[in-house]
Amino acid sequence: MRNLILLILAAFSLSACIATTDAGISTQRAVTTTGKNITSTTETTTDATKASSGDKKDKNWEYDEGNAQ
Amino acid sequence: MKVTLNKSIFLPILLFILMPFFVSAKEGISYENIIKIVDDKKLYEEKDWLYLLHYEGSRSVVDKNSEFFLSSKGHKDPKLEMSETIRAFFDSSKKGDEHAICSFPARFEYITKNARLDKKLFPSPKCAGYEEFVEKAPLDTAAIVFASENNMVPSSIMGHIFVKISGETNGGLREHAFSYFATDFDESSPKVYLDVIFSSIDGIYALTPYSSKKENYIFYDQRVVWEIELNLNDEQKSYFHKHLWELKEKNVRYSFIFHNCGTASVNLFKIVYGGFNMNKVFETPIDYIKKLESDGNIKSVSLIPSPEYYLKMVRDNYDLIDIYKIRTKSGNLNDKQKYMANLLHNYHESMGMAQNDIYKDINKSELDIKEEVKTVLDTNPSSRIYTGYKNYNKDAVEIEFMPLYQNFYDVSAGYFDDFETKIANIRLVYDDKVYVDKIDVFTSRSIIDSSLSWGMFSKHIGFSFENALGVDGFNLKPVLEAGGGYAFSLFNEAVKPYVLPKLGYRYDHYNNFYVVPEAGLIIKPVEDIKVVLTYEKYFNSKKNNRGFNERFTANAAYRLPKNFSLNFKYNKYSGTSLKDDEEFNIGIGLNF
Repeated sequence: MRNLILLILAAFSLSACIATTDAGISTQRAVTTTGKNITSTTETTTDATKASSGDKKDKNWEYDEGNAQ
Repeated sequence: MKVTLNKSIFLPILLFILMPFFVSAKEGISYENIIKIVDDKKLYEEKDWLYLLHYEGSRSVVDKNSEFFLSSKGHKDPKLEMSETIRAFFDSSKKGDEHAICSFPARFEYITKNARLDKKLFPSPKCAGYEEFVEKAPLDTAAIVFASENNMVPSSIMGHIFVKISGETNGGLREHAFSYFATDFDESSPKVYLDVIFSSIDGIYALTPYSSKKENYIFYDQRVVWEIELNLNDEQKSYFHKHLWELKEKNVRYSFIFHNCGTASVNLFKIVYGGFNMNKVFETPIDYIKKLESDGNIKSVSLIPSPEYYLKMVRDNYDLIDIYKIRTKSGNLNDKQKYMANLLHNYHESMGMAQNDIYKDINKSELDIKEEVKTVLDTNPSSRIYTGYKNYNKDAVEIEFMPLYQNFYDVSAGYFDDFETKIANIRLVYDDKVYVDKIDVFTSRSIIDSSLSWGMFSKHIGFSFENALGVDGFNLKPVLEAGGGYAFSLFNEAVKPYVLPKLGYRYDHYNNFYVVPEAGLIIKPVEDIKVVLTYEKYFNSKKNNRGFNERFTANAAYRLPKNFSLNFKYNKYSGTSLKDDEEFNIGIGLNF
């Protein structure tokens, strides 16, 4: 029974740990940082635009190059 | 008597007196001398050393052939690994980044600090790679990031956590994700699934720019990202930062039970916080966050809402007439309505759906928009046990154990939506004997306010084994159900009616396919009470084989302190040949 449970858990959950590609959307949004008692948020409306893509020399160790990217 | 020394013998005598100090200093930097010091202190037995080597029990989770170990037995012999590490610190044949002092700065810190050694006594290799890491991926703050649950996607039903490090560089703020995952995972291979349960597969920690990872969660997955900044002093930050570098490109074995993406991320902090004794069989990201909170290690919590989540945060500012006007574009919208229309535009755009009009020059600060936040720290712990009294035919005791994850009928202050994810939920009944009454292998259910957009729909997927009504023994039969539906909120989410038609299948002597329209009402009169009323009527391909054909259910939960809850349930059955058509349950649940 335990093994069956674990097998089901693994099938459903493992892929959450698989690295996702970085084909994200480049957008700036405001972040709430108000401590443990979160009380308010600032929201900005923005357009979503596709991020640039390119080869990664080492996809497992990549620095944020900021504007130079 | 005056004693005088001849100059010719003064110098040799002075040298003789001072010689032990010179010898001491020279011996102080020798390999043998340091080994003696660490032996005396038994530093290799210290938990902090074992944490640096990622030991879980008697062995390390790092692959035994990894360059992480300098000794061939380092994965199971921490003493040998320490002595080989110290030997490597003196190895002059290795230069630059190849030198152990460059590769293992946290170990160097640990040994020199605890053996009370001056770092200047060791070689000073030029660590270009490590210095680049420090410069480009600085650590002024460290956080655990929780990407919230998405129960539309099975792989995301319990959320995901990883580490975020941030700091200022000459070029401005730099934020990086440090996350752990299994590599070369072949989802089509049954062997891989068996390996991750009973053995392990290759895994690695990856450093990536945080922004792209965050945006992927927010915009593609519509998941909320919680950044949970941790309390670390400067010394801890430096030590932790050095250790991250030690893990670069190392094969750290992935095991679903003992070393998964959650444990691997949280366990990194053992080197600064000590161990995490959870005492749970199944540990989820929510459990880790709650543990960090109870240990006082959380400094602050930040929320980055997805477009969908933000709509829910401001939903209470609009009544149904506002929503109707915005969705149908009827009449002139006021600025507050235009603001919501812009939010809907963003949401639909990120979902790849048809977009609303966008209104320029709408300044939120000029509008009276209130935002409601449900805090991740208020989420119920992810396991539950229930025991109660059941009255159907005869008196009985009911015990239910849910190892994972969230129960639909309980009050949970951490979520806007009413949702349920159950894995391996088992219900036992004791009357004059004990038997299993139901096993929910997997249930995923969410009732979501769809008034803002059709993109937000409710759904139910369930696979279970359950007794027919009136069977008081072990006679479980398979049931499969799936459906999608619609709900909308009224009175500031105090009342939420919904419809959820489902298709189903039950086997008991014969195959029975059916359609079951479910209608329901979720009522939350106050913060700690939740009432759920449901009505289901079954239309079968053959005659019903579940013992009834129509059911009205009333559930009520009252949240008590310390994660306890008081639960009531009443069932009224129709279309049954059984004498007793009413069932009543009352009991206490505990989330832990």
